Amino acid sequence: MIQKDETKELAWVARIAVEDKDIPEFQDKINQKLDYYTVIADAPTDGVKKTVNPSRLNTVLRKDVVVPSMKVEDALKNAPDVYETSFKIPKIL
Amino acid sequence: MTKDIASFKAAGDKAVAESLEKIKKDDSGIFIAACGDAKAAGSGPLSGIPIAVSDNISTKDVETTCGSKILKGYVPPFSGKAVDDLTNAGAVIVGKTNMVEFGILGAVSTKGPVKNPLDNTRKGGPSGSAAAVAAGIVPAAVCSDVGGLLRVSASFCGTAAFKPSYGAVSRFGLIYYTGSLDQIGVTATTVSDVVTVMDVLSGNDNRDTTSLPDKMVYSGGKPLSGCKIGIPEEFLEGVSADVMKTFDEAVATFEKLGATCKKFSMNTAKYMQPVHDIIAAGESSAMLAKYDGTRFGPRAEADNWHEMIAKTRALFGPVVERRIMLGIHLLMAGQYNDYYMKSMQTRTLIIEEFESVFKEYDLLISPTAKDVAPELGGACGAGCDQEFSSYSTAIAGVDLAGLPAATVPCGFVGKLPAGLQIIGGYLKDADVIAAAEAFEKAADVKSPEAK
Amino acid sequence: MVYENPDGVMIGLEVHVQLNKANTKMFCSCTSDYTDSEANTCLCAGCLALPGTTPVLNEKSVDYAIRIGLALNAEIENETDFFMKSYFYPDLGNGYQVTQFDRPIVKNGSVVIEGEDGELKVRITRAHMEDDPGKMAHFGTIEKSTGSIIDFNRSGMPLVEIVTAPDMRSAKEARRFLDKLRSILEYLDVFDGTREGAMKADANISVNVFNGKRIEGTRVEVKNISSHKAVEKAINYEIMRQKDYLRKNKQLVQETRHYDEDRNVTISLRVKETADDYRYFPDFDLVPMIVGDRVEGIRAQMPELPDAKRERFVSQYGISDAHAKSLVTERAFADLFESVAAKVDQKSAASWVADVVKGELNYRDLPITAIKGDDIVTVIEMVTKKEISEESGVTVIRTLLDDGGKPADIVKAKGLAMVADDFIATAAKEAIAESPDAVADYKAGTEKALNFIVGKVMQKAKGKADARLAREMVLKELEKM
Repeated sequence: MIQKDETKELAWVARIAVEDKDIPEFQDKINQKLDYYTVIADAPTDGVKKTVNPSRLNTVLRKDVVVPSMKVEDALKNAPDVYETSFKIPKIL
Repeated sequence: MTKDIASFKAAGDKAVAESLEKIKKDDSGIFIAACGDAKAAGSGPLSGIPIAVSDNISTKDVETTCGSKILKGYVPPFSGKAVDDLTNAGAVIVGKTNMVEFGILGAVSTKGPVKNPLDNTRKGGPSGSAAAVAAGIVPAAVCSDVGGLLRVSASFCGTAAFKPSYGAVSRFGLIYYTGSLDQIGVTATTVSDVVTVMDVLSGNDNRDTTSLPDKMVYSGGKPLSGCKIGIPEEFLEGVSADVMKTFDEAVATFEKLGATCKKFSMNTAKYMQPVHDIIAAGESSAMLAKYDGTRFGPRAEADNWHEMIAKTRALFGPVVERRIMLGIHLLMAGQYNDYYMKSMQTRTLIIEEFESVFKEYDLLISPTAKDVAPELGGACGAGCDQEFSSYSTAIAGVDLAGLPAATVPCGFVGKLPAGLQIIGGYLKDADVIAAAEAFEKAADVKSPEAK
Repeated sequence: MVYENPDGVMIGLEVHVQLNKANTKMFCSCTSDYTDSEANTCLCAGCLALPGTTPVLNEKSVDYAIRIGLALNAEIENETDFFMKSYFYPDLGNGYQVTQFDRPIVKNGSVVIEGEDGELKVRITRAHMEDDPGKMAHFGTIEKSTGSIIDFNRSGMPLVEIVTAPDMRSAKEARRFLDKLRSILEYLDVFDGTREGAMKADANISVNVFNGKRIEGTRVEVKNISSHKAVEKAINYEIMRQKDYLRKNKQLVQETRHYDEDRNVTISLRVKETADDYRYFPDFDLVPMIVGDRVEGIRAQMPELPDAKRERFVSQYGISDAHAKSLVTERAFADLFESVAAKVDQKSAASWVADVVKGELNYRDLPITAIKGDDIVTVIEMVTKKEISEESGVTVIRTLLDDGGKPADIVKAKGLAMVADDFIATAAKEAIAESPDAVADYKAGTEKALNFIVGKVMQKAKGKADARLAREMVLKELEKM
C-alpha cells in the first residue's frame, strides 16, 4: 500500500501535476488496485519463464537498407515551439 | 437499421456522401471527427465503401486524438498500415470513432460516452465502432481491441466483431497504450462482412516486429459438426441472469449444429484480469511517457521543462493518470518481482493452460460481457478505475494469450443485445470464423422490434 | 619490474560506441549518416517518438555487436532481449531508452593492453546494445540557459556499451585501453571514430591505498569523457582530488561527476539524494533474439586483429616489433605498409611507412589517404638506387603532402638528384686540402676528425651526396697521403 507522500512522489516521477486536494483520492484508488492484485500471489510461478509478448516469433530482423527520411516540415509541423529546424523547449534546470 | 457492405455498394456513388452526412450530424458521441470524401474512393474489394476507424489509428493529415486532450490538434504525418490497406482496397475512411481515452477501459473520452443506437439511454460501449455500424452509418468499422474495446462495444450494440490472433494485423500507426495486449479487429453487421475487411487488413508488415510472416487465412475453418466446445466455468461468473439465458440458448444452438459443449474449470482464470491489469499498467507507464508537449501536442506554460511536462501531462484524464502512476509504482525495484515479474510468469501459465485446453477442445465460448449495455451516467459515468473487471474474464485471457476471438449477437434482453464470444486456439482464426458464421446463420438473432 | 600502484587506484570504464558503419539506425530505416545534415532532417516518426510507431531491429547492429564480442574474446549470449529504461529528458522522445539488462549480447571478455609493468589483461564484464537519444543544445550554458533546442537526427543510432572490470591502475592504462579498443573497433569496420560522438567513455575511479595502508575506496563515476586526450587528464584530476580529500580528511561520496574539458576539472552532478529508479522492464514491442548460427558465420569472416597482425608482421617481414606495433595501430597504415612491402625491401618499407610517413601525416593532421603507396615505393626505390639521398627522400615525402605532384618531378624541380661520383672525389680532395688540422688529427688517431672532413664534402654537395660514398672517397684520398 502506498502512503500519501509516496503518491505525491509517484505523481512527480510520472511527471503529472496532480493537485494536492486530489492526492488522497489517487492514493485510495491506486491502493484499491494494489489490494486487488494480491490475488496473483499464489500463482505457482517458481521457475516459470516470463512471457513478454504473446507473439511466438523470435529474431525478427530488418535489412540494413536506408529508407528516405521524412520532410523536415512534417517533422516539425506538430511541434509546440520551433527554433530554426529544431524543437524548442524551456530551460532544463 | 444496420446495413451491410452489399447495400452500401448498391447505393453507389452516394454511399460515402450519405455516410459523411450522418457523421456530421452525429450527436450520439459515436464519432470524434469526419474525414475523407467520395472522390477518394479507389478500386478494389471495398471500392466506394465508407469505413470508420477508431481514433487511435493514425490518419495522415487528419487529427488523431485517442479521445484524449493531450493529443488535441495532433495531425499525424503518416497513416497506419490498416488505413493504407483500407484505402488501397478502395474504401474511403469517413470518420474517426470515439473511444475511451487511449482505449483504457473506465477512462473518459473528450467526446463523452458513446450512446447506444438501440437505446439512447444506454452506453454503446467503450468505443464508437460498433455503434457506427449499428446506426447504419458505415457497414464496417476498424478498431483496436484491448480489454474488449471492440468486442464489448459489439456485444452492447449487437454487431459481429472479430479480433484475430496476435500479429495478424500490423500495429504500425496504431497508438496503443499496451502493445502486448492490443490487436486491431473489425466489426460489421455480419461475420461475412467482418471477414471481407479482415482479409484486407491482414498480412505481414516489416515495420511491426510482431507482424506474422504469413497472411492469415480466414476461410476453410472446421465445421461445427463434431466440434468439441469448452465452456470455462470461471468465464460465467458474475454474468447476469438475463445474459446467462441468452448464453444457454446459444449452447443449445451449437448442440443442434452437431457440436458438443462441456463445462470445465480453468485453474489460471482467476489470474487473468489482475495480470492483464498489471501488464497494461506497466506498459502504459512507458507508452504514455512520450506525451510531454515537446515534439507534438499541446504544451502547458512553465519556465522549466520538467514543470512544463508535468503540467502538460495533467491533460490526461484522472483514470489514465492513475494508470500511469500505478504502472510506475509496479515497475519500481521494490515491487517489480512481486507484481510485474510475477504477472509475466503467470501469463506463461495462462498461455500454457490455454494450449492444453485447446488440445481437448476445438473452441471455447463465453458471454462476451457479463451484462447488456449499462446506463449512461451510471456507476462509471465519470470514469472508473475498475470498469474492466465488470466485463469478462475471458476477454482478459484472450488478450494475454493473443488468441483469436469473435463476438456475435446471441439474444436480446429487452431491446438490448447480448454477445457470444467464440475463442479459438492461437492461429486457429479460421475455425473461429467458421463457427461464428454457422452460429449466426442458425441462431438468426433478431431484435424484438424486428420481430 | 612490477608496478606498485602506490595509491591503489582502480579504474573501470564504460565505453559507448556508435555503430555508425551500419547504414541505418537501430530500430528504423533512417540513415545513420547525419553528420553534415541540418537538424531534424535525418529522421522518421519513430526517431521523433511520434505516437503509433513500432521498432524493428537492424540486422547489422546485431552482427556488429557480435563482431565486437568475438574481438573482445567474449561469450555471445544465444538468447538475448531488450528492456526499456525509463526517465524523462527532452532528448529522449519515448521517455525510455531501449537497452539490454540481465542478458547482454556480450559478456566475459578481455583485452590485453600494454600496462605499467608489461602486458595487462583488462576484463570486459559485458557489452550490450542500446539506442542513442537525440541531441540537446542550450542557449547559453546549461546552468544559465533561457531555453534549449533538440535535434533528433542522432535519435535511434545503434550503440554498444562496453563495460570493463576495474582493472586499470592508472590514467595511462585507461588511455591505452581506449586506444586499443578504438583500434580494434576500426579493424572490425563497425565504427568510424572520426565522426563526432562516435566514442564516449565514463570512468569509475577509486583510490584504495592511503598512507601506505589498504582502505575501502569510494567509487566515483566521471561522465562525458569524449576525447582520448581528455581521458588521461580527467582521471588524473579525479585521482588527485580523491587523494586530496583523503589527506584533508574530507568525506568522499559515491557519486557521478561531470568532466569539464575546458577547465580540466570534474564537477559533481548530484542534484538529488535519492538514486534514480529507471524501472527496467522487458520491451514488449520486440521479440526475443536468438543468435544461433549467426555467430559462426560472423566468426568465419572476422578480420585479422591488431595483435595477430603485429605478430605476423614480425615473423613474415622480419621487421622490428616496434615498427610492427606502430604499423598496426590503424588498419589503414598496416594495409599501406603491406602494399609498399610487396614492392621494395620490407625493412625499408617498415621504416619509411612507420617512421617517416606516419610522422609527417600526424604532424600535418592529414588522413592516410593524403599519400599514395606507389609514391612511397618510388621514393624508397630512388633512395635505394642512390638517385637521391635519404634526406632528400624525406623532402620528397613532405612536398608530396604539402603541394602534391609526382616524386620524379619534385626531385627535378628541387634539384635533389645525387651529384656524380667524380664531383664527390674532387670535393673530397678539396676538403682535405682545406682542413690540414683535421687531417693531422686524424693521422694522429682521432677518428672523429674524419667526420669533420666528410661534413665539408656534404656541404659542397649541398646534401645531394650519399654520405657513405663521401666517407669512402675521403678515406681513399687520405690513404694516398
